Amino acid sequence: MRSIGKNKRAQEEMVGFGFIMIIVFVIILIFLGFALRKPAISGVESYEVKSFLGAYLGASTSCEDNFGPISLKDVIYRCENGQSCIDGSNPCDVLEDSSSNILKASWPIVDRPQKGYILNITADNKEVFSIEEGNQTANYKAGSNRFSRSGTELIISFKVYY
Amino acid sequence: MQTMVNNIKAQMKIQQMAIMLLAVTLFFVLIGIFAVTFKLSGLKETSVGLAEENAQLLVTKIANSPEFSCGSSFGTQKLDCVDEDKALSLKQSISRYIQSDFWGSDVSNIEIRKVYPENSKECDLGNYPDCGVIRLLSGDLTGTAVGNFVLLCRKEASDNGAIDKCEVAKIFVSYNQQ
Repeated sequence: MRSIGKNKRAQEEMVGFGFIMIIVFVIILIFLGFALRKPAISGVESYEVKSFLGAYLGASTSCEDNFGPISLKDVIYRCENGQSCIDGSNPCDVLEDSSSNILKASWPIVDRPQKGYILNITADNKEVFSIEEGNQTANYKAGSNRFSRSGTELIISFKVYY
Repeated sequence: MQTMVNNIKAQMKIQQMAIMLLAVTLFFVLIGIFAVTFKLSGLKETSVGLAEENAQLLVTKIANSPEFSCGSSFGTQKLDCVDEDKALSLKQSISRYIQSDFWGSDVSNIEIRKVYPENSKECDLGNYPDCGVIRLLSGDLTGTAVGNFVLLCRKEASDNGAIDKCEVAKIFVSYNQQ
């Protein structure tokens, strides 16, 4: 009778050990499930943002000087200085139109990894121009460019949200 | 009777020990398998990431190579600036570059596409510059393609002489991933 009781205890101990093993395996599987999950694909790289800024600043616009069409970089200066284009048009309007068109074509937000963007231009910490589109999510890639002319420091910063 | 009982007890203890040892061994083997799987999955992602980084460096290298880059033709030296006139001329003599694997044997095609203003016409001598895509080799981009923004510049004739016209474009390099 006693040996039957002891056998039952031994069986209970084995079953208990088996339960502990199963619980430990389940915890490990849950942990590995999280660890081996594929990281979210961003679809937006920081080198793209930086290269885009360089291309954006060099793009020709409809604003001209004596030598022909001027770049967006020069249009930003003219807008900040209040200096009009050779045909009398307002460089700030040219800046807004060109920026909007270039950004819409370069960073479409419909059915794409990028969900929104924001471009800010400041001169000596005062806002010259800003444009944004789409949603500002928690993830973004950013780039900035700074240069100065005639003592004014201009900073162009661009963020793409994904 | 007592001996039989003792034997049974001993057998039970041996069985318990055997099962426990088996379970512990299985436990550590499974831990080891999971750890190796975890490490190897990271390796694959690292190799893909490195391949993409190499492709991105290739795009930058090609965009800034003398065959494509603006140099100082359009004012001050610009990075990531592609001379559209040069790129179209290169298209005419591309076979020499491809035969000698000039950009590496993995590169299968290079395409420059205007982003704004958008134009899907492929450039040739007949429609230039009223076109938007310069594809160095015929056929679509195959394999894996990596792109980056560039400034695409050309010279245009005007009443005041030659003027610079620059547009935002993207250069795509397709390569065969090994």
